[in-house]
Amino acid sequence: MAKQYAMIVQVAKCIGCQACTVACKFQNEVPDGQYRTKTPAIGPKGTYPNLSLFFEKEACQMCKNAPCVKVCPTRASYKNEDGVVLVDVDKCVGCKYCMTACPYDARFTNAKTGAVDKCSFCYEIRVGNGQKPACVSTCVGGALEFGNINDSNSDAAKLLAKYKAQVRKPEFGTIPNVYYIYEGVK
Amino acid sequence: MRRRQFLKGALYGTGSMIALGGCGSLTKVDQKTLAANQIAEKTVYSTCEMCTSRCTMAAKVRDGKVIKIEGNPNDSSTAGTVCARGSAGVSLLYDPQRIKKPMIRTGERGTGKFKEVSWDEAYTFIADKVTQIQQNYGPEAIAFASRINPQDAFFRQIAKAIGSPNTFSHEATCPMTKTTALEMTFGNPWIAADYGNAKYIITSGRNFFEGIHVSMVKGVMKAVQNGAKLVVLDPRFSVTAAKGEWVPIKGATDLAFFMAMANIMIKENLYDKDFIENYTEGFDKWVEAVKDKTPEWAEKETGIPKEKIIEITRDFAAKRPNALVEFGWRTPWTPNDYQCRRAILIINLMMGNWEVPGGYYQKKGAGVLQPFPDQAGYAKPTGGGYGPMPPAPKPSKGRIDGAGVKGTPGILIPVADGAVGQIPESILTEKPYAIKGWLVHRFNPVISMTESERIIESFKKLDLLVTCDVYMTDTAYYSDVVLPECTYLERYEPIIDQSGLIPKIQLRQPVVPLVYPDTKPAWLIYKELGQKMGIGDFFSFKDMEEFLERQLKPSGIAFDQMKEKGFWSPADMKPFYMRGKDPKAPAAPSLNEKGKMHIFSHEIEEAIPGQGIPVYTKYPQPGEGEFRFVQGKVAVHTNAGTHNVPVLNELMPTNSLWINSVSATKLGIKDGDNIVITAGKYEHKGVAKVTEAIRPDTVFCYHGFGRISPGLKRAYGKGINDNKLIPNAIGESGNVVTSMTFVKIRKV
Amino acid sequence: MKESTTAELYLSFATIFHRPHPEVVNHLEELIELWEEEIPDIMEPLAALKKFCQIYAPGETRINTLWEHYIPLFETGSVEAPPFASIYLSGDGLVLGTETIAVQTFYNSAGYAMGEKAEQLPDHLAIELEFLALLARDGEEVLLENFRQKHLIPFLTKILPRIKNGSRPVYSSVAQILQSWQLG
Ligand code: SF4
Ligand code: SF4
Ligand code: SF4
Ligand code: SF4
Repeated sequence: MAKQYAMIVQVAKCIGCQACTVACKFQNEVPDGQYRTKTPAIGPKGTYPNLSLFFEKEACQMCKNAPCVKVCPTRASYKNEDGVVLVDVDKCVGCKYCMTACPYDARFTNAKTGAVDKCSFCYEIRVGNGQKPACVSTCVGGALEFGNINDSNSDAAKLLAKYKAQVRKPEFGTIPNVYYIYEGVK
Repeated sequence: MRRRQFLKGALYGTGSMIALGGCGSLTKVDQKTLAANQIAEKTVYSTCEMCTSRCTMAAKVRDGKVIKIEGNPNDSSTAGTVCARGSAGVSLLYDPQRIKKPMIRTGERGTGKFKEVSWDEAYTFIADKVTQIQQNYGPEAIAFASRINPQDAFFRQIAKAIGSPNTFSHEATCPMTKTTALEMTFGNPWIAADYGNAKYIITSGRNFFEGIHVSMVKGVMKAVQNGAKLVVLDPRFSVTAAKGEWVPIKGATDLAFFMAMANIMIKENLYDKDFIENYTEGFDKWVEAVKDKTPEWAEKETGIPKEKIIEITRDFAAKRPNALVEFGWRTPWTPNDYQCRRAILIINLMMGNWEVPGGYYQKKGAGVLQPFPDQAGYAKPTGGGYGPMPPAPKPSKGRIDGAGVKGTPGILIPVADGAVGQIPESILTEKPYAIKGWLVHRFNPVISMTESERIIESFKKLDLLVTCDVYMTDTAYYSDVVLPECTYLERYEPIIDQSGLIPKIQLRQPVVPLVYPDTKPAWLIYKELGQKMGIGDFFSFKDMEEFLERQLKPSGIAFDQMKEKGFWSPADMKPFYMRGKDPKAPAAPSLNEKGKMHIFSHEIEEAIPGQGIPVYTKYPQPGEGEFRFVQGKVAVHTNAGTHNVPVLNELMPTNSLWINSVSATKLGIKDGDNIVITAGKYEHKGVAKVTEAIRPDTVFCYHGFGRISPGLKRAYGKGINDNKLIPNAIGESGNVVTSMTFVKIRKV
Repeated sequence: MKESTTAELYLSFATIFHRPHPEVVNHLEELIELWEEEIPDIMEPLAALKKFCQIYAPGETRINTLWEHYIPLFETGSVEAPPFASIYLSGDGLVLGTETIAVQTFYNSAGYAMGEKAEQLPDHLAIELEFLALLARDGEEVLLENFRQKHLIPFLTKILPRIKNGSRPVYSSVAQILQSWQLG
């Protein structure tokens, strides 16, 4: 079976420490003031003293049905054989159609390259060498997992089998490959 | 024409390079030499210093440049991760705002006028001033303060060699009350908690998930994932509180909560009698002390319903012995906070959680293993690196803070740390005698100590103020001499012992050559300064390679192996709990001669009669219109150390004052409003963060912002400097007192 | 312009943007004379420089005054105009970035390298200017123009306005003069 790479976020284990944010920046040479991923706080919700607070890592959701790919006039945005949506910097003309099309606000214009940029699942730079993405490797809370979910033995597939997972904005029909597990979230 | 000679001489003179002023860096070379300089990609393992947790790390180096810092994948305690600050170390290394050459002040103190000088000029300047002060006032008139670190030993060596007893660390501003409690209870402070195997964790303000220490985060998260309950006493809803049960306790009353816990445990027979009998002394006095500390009483003190206190105590005790009350970290809240920490330790003793999974243990350095025949073979202790040394002069006067003197209150102050808040007091009041010189290494009194303006006022009375750091810190800005240290990614340091349940030693080593060629590592700075001062024979090692070889020799671990791996731990050793197999096994804390843990402390009783067992002090609570002012740590910054580091500043450039929404409404304050905070004679501008996540009688801000040195361009003037508002009061164990200040807030 | 004059001009600016050094600072008048002769339309900055020289005679006060401004402008702390090309051209605002490597590679291809005892990073403004002085002296016109277009001009475009707007004596004026000469 073809591969399908996916990222799993166990929200209860995320402490909002931004280790992922910074590791991604250095791994992918993301310019000053720009980010491929960030982990904002959701909350605190409720009234004193009954509160809840958690963090949700944000980045490209690696849609199976990717609107950004569909609208790209130069095919700079494409989905590769392992189900990863990527941007070919050389082909990108900076028209920003994809940025408008993305329902997750995952894309930005890289100030250094001038091309559109976003999370790449560290596909070429790490996953290709058998490593996990930079953010996953350095996750201090241990909230992140990554792998081929078509392989039932992968850590990622095991997590999906064990817990109920959600995707963001399912109503858009984008079929993301970033899954959020809320088990244990208070 | 004059200029024809002046510039032409330089251009067409002898040699291929230009010799004029600062020129001459570029030289002609042949291509062969150049080819030899090509450097490929490599990974260098070392130890992080973006905070004091000292995690292992791996630097990815390409063409001589660090491109990324990652965790060390071979270290299971961190699972190969580093935190945001650890990763951001690259941007500190390559920050153009670092200091690059020694500087001497040319204008008035505080005007920021400096000139750059050679190291030799800087050393000479310091040595002359030190000699002058020594002659006029004696060597004890020079105080030394540093952030505790393996390499600050070199800094302290200067004090030792000139005979000044006045050495201080930053710890009085952070974990000191815990250190005092550990020393008084166990006889040594090298005690740690086995979070990962705990089934119930109670913390009094310890904020694991924002004051990050990677392996501890991993431990606590593991426990929570395995179903452990996490109870967080904190007036503020921290990230740690969000991951457990938040108990919004009234400030400065934590001791009442723990005394009530003990009261319930005794009344309901929920403690480990065998353990108390075999391993401790003075329990009867504790029984007496908590006799009337009922849950009803504690409810009035702490604001926590008595049912909640009882429920927590019963559930906690039910997990005996694999449950713990965390002893705290940044806890200098009240003048006698050490008594609260003592009470916490006593509850742990009542749980019998000493040297069992999920409890407390003596850190297992190689030395600790030696008396255990089945463990001793795993590791051999390291040795000293200094080499032969002349006898140090005996200080002719005692320390200004009286630390460590038996039979006096000073016994409560850990001598290695000292009551650093006494330095500005002794400068200003000349009591017990005057301090005239202050040497500061990688520490920033203006921001890290309380009452910033008083600290600055004290600087003005000094004959000599020297700061060694990587940035033009707020203290450097006022200094006579500023010495540029290189970063932790460019230097060796003595062996770092990070032993937990198994021994572990780490190396900090240069991962790249110096970025700014005229910065230096601390060991070299103080060795060279020592030579200039005529005390060079206190530094009888050639370089750090020699120093480290000497240290490693007795351990049998090769230096090359350390350089290659970055750390060493016995590969096949299992976590060692002294009472793991036999709950009656002798398991004395390593430095306690009698083998008993002190529930009642004769040492304290002798020094301060009536305090041998924790005694509750009822502190005032804020009145109408007042708020208790508390502060804390955030995951992307370290104390006062990282606010100017490019990537971290970008993530969090400023702070705000958290205020409960009900209290804010009463004052007509909305989220994001500009406010003025007043505390006595001090005022600070700030921005309000109106939130549900704090008690209505408390306000909070993250520490380390509101910087006053224009030399910290990114952090300068942004946010609230908490310590500007807090008076400099010295607590009973030498701690600064951080949480006894009441403030008023008004909208502007 | 004669090659030797070009070399002298580059060198004159290099010496100013290096750390203040008595050898140079006490000869400021001679540099001013050179600029006055060789660079047109620089009345205003020249006047400012001459005034500075009148107020501060060669010696201790003159050099300390320059330090007072050089440090916050280029060296430590606030660093109003970081003197490293990498800061402006590498994207992450840090030293030793891609631009540094590019500049260093250029030096090497021209047969130059940063010496063992180099006190500065290769893309320091003064070092780049010093390099151009060497190329001019050696008569390497093609290399010179190449380096100028690829590295110096983009760098100067970013940094000179900062130095100028910093309104710090001497440096602000010299930046204006260099701007007239190179970007004018
Ligand atoms: S999240 Fe946005 S950028 Fe990523 S695949 Fe989906 S549509 Fe494209
Ligand atoms: S997978 Fe790689 S690119 Fe995507 S957020 Fe993580 S580190 Fe960044
Ligand atoms: S590193 Fe992990 S725990 Fe930290 S913010 Fe990112 S996802 Fe959350
Ligand atoms: S906790 Fe973070 S900053 Fe501190 S030593 Fe570990 S990785 Fe470095």
